[in-house]
Amino acid sequence: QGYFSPNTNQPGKQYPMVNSQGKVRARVNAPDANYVKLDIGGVKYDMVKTADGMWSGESEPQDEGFHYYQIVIDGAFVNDPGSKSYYGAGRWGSGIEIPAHDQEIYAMKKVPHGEITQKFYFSKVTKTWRDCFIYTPPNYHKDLDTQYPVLYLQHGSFEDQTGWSSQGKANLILDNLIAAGKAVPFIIVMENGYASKPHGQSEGKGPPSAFEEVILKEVIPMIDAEYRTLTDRKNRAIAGLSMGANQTMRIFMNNLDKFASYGGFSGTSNYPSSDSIDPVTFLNGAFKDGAAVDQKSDVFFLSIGTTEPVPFPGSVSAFKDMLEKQGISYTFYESPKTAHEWQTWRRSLHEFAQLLFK
Amino acid sequence: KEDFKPSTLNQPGQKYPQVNSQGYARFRIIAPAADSVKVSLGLGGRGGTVLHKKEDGSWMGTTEGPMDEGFHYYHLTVDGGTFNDPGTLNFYGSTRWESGIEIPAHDQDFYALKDVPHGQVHKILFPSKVSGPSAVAYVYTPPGYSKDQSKRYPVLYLQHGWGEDETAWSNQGHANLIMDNLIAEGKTEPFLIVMTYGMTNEIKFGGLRDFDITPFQTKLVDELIPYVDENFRTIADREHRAMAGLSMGGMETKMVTLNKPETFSHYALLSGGIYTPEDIKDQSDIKLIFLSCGSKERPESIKNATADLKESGANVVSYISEGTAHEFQTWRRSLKELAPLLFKN
Repeated sequence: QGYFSPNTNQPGKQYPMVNSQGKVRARVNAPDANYVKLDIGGVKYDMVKTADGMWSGESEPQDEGFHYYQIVIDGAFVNDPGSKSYYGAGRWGSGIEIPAHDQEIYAMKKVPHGEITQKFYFSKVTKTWRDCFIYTPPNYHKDLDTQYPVLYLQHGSFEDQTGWSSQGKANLILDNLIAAGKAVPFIIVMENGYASKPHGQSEGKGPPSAFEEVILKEVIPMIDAEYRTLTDRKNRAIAGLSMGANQTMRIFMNNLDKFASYGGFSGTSNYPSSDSIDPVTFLNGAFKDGAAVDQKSDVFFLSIGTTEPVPFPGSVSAFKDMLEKQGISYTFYESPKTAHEWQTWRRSLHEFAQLLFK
Repeated sequence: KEDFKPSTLNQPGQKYPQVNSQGYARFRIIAPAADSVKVSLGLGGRGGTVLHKKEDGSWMGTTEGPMDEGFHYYHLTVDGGTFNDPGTLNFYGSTRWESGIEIPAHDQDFYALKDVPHGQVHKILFPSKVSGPSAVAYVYTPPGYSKDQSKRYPVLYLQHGWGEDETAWSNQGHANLIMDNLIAEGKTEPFLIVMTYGMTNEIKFGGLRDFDITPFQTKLVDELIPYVDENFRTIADREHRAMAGLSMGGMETKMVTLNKPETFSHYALLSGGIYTPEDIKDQSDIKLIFLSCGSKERPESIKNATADLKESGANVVSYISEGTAHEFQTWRRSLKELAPLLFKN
């Protein structure tokens, strides 16, 4: 028991509620519906109609942290009117926050806060308007002589540039770490990992990703021109989760002259394979000279949740084996009892941020 | 006319809702087991648009007539329950995240995303005892703000209406793009815009008589303004500070500006009531009063108030948005008219 309304609810909305066991209780008004289901964690739970025309239902306990979910009403997949919406699974869906034993790391506290800025720019590569989100640490606008390192931080598949500052709480994680003196203040740039050239310039199935080109030719020069950044490789890092881990590893390995630190949360560039990796052929031999990679990587960070599904554990494990064989030192973090979800990535950022730019 | 296109506010890859060149809106919802699906948007007085079931399990329907130009909130009613349209983005209005649709307007160029220098919208968290420990505000900084670090700027404090929040002016209002375009054309001085939650939703709609301005006024004047002046390069005096608000935000603007004449020198009410000559103690002290509304609201009241204020010697400007009601198109246009008048000292 002990149900309460989580802060992922819209203002003033009592439902959905969660309890200390992580059970989710949903309640929606649909007096004439034939059926209503709560769809969370890959399971659709039947909801039942109560005397007042409301439908009520409860899930099994969910893992700590943030989960996407939705309501199914008579075959329509809709948002829960009680929840705020979050971009995941290619749509703005409902989200719910299950209390976590370590929620202090991303809690809103009485500490100096940085800010999140949305930056619009016209990409000459994709020929479209794009926008990215930029975290600047506390006092960025006051200490006008300070220059900062930059972390480029990417979301996962079917997510977008809003993920890290919304459900990821990257800004609060950094605010809290900086206030505690555990992280160097740095800027975070959060881009949309989906970028392709205009139709007609590609062959075969879909247009190839132009993300690396956008980051290198457009975003980094723009950020270095408009923000007070430290522009040497030692002060530039790149990281991502899942698909973003894969993308950013390629960018990192292809551009060791521009980045000195990498973080791969729940993903690596051998995804989805768990086969052993041959460094001679993998990523065009980028890991072949292990000593050189090791020397150039200030932080090489990998992480995974302990309950992640296949193929993530095998894939990350095979990648680690390759690093060890090549003599490349890395930091490995396992998030206890979390799956391929945001709690794993919040914790990963919390660990990774403490290692950066030191 | 069968020239329907996806609304510009649709979620990525979604084909519906659609709008045509005449301003009709067409909806398609997949709900194979539903008995009734309605959309709240439609011609006035008819309770929205009823959708009809197709063989493939989808529900479709088109508004019976053209909608007013600009942005509209709406939602679905599926078998008696209120839900959002999965096809479109969500916007905070009527105290919930509602669905939104954009009807192309003849003058949409002034809030279009164009190839001009762009300012930025910053989400800040400032210490607040009223809604603390931290309260949210959005700050628009004009193009070039981060480059020329010696320049300081005036500030407009801009409020949303009842049922909305601090996200409204940049999401559905496009305040940032309106400013970017005006600045690019040299029509306005660059200034900052600060948007915070007006605490207007804590009271029931219609309960305005009981509204106490004190908590919001404290949050705005004693907490937010000092934070903005400390953290942004503002010109921190009353000559360079304006306040404006739409609808209930206009009511708040009127109360705060009259209570704190030492804080603001430019006042603007957008579909948000009027000032009378009796309201104002010293006309010479106020740089500008701006009153506006849509032609489908009560424009006579704005015109009469403007005449009275003019006669009493106030520098008053009014604007009536043609063919729009109590909706965001009126307020986008009002901001476009207001901005060039501000801070012309």
